[in-house]
Amino acid sequence: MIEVQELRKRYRRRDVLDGVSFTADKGRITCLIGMNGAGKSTVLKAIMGLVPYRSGTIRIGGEPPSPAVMEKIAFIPDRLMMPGGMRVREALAWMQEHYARWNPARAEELLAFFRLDPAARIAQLSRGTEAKLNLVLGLSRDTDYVLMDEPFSGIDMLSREQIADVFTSELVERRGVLLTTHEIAEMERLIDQAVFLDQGRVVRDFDCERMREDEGKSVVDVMREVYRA
Amino acid sequence: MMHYLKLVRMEVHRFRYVLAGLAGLTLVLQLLAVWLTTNQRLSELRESNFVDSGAQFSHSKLSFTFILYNTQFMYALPILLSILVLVLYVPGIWYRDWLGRSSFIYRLLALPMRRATLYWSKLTALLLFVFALLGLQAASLPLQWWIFRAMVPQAWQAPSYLSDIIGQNKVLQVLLPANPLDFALYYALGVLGVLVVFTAIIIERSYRGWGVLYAILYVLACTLLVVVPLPLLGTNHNAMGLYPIEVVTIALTAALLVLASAIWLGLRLLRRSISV
Amino acid sequence: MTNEEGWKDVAFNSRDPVYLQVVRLFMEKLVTGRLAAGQVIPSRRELASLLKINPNTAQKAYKEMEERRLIVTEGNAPSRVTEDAGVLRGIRAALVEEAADEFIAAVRRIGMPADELIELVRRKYDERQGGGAHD
Repeated sequence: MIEVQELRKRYRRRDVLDGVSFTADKGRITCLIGMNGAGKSTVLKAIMGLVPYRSGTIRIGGEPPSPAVMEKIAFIPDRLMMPGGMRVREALAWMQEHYARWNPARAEELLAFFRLDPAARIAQLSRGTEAKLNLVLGLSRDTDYVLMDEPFSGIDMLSREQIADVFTSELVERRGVLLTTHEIAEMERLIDQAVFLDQGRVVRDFDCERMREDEGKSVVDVMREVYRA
Repeated sequence: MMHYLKLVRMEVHRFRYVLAGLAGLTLVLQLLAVWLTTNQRLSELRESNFVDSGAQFSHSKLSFTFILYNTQFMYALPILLSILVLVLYVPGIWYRDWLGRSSFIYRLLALPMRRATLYWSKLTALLLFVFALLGLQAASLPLQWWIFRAMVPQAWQAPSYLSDIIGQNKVLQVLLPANPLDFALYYALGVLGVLVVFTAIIIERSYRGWGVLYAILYVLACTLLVVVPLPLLGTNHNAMGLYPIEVVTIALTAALLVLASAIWLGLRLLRRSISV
Repeated sequence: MTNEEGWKDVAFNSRDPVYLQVVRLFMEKLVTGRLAAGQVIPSRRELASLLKINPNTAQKAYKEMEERRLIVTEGNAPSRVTEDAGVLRGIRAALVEEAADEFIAAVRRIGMPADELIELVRRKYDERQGGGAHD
């Protein structure tokens, strides 16, 4: 379980995070939903220790973030974040070098599934291909948790469909997946838990199936309620 | 430890073309300088020897040290260029990881290792670059000497001594001081300077906007602390009436203080405050 | 059940619980004979990727179907459609009843007497049966 409690961060005289609390359970797909600038990405970066925060606590599987904990959690940022001069093969080798729980067989499998060319230079990849490689790098590690920042933004339709397949596969099974998106419509039947962020605050946090069962509302319906107000 | 070695290797790999370019340029330009100068002096010597018709040989011989002394600019140019590139790469080795929308620093800071590893790997890589070029310089001197001996007839060669050779070029003199204590001092000051700049960069990367100002102030303060006692070194007469040993102690203490605080602050900010 | 046909491109709505929609999909397939009694059904994983739903949802749907005795899973063997005729009959009845409920809810708003309504239904139903012969 990833627990975020009362996370606060100020940046340029604005409360980017204003007491954010939620949990993302193992074996479930949790989605942080919000407009641009709502603080979704900042939450993921704070969990990974990539941005400082003023106060609050973060626990990953019960432990505070530490180098050892970083082996248990994979972050798939909104861009590939690898040097453009590297080749696809070299990027995989780099990950394998640095992560003990790298799964080479899975990496090969995913490479084949997404039809990535190991000899291609990263700088020359299209956005869609870049996003696929990004997933390969993140999902080829045997981690308990996977964080994904806007896995669908700026990507062509065919790539989106392939990426969506990841969420219906064993790749996310038994792991805790926490992702962010600002376009929930195409994701809404894939996620278990929805957490709505607005101006640095959690405004709704619910189980999607229970919401449908109890109130007959889709995630998009709730989204309209939240942002119309 | 494994992360450290792999990161050092990666940093070397990323800089390999620049390093090879600098090494090649140094090798070629210096050999060319020695060859050209030797050629020129040789023809002059031929003329004068012909005019003097072999009267006073002793004034008409060529030595390698003399050749080096006469190559100053062309010989020093690749060294100065290498220094410039390496100095620019001190901030470059950090900032390149933030460059672009797809910045590598995300991956580096998320690695399952202590962040200090990243810091030390970057310092190690820079030192490796410096000493690789220095080693090349030291190794190319005998080669240049050999070229000289091959070009100049035995009878016209005046002897040179290794210890004199380095002294002939002003830049070499600074880079490869004969006194091991000077050598240690120069390079220790160099490392200190690099670490202060590292910390300044980390301050800027942590606080951004205002961080620029903090970083500048930080560098100024460090420079003052280290530089102020220096002119007093080696003098018996100073305004405060301090003994030389006291001045040395003060200078050393100030430098060590700056060093320790640079490392402490840099690592702390890297751990807690740095931002992608 | 080795082919993927009949599972791909199922359109789910996003206001009803997805796992219940999956259960309903199975019920419809059973009633229309596209799934036979005792037939092996896809694994949870396979179903999740075929229907493009989250594996947890597939798991929940299977659990629900096991509880309703639509499917049976023995040990590590793959799940199968039940062979219990009573259950299969029950599904048919349940589906028809559900359809009737929906229909009544829709026409209630218009407010038509039941007799007229039944007459209309009978006529339409016969028309369809007749028309269906062309297919």
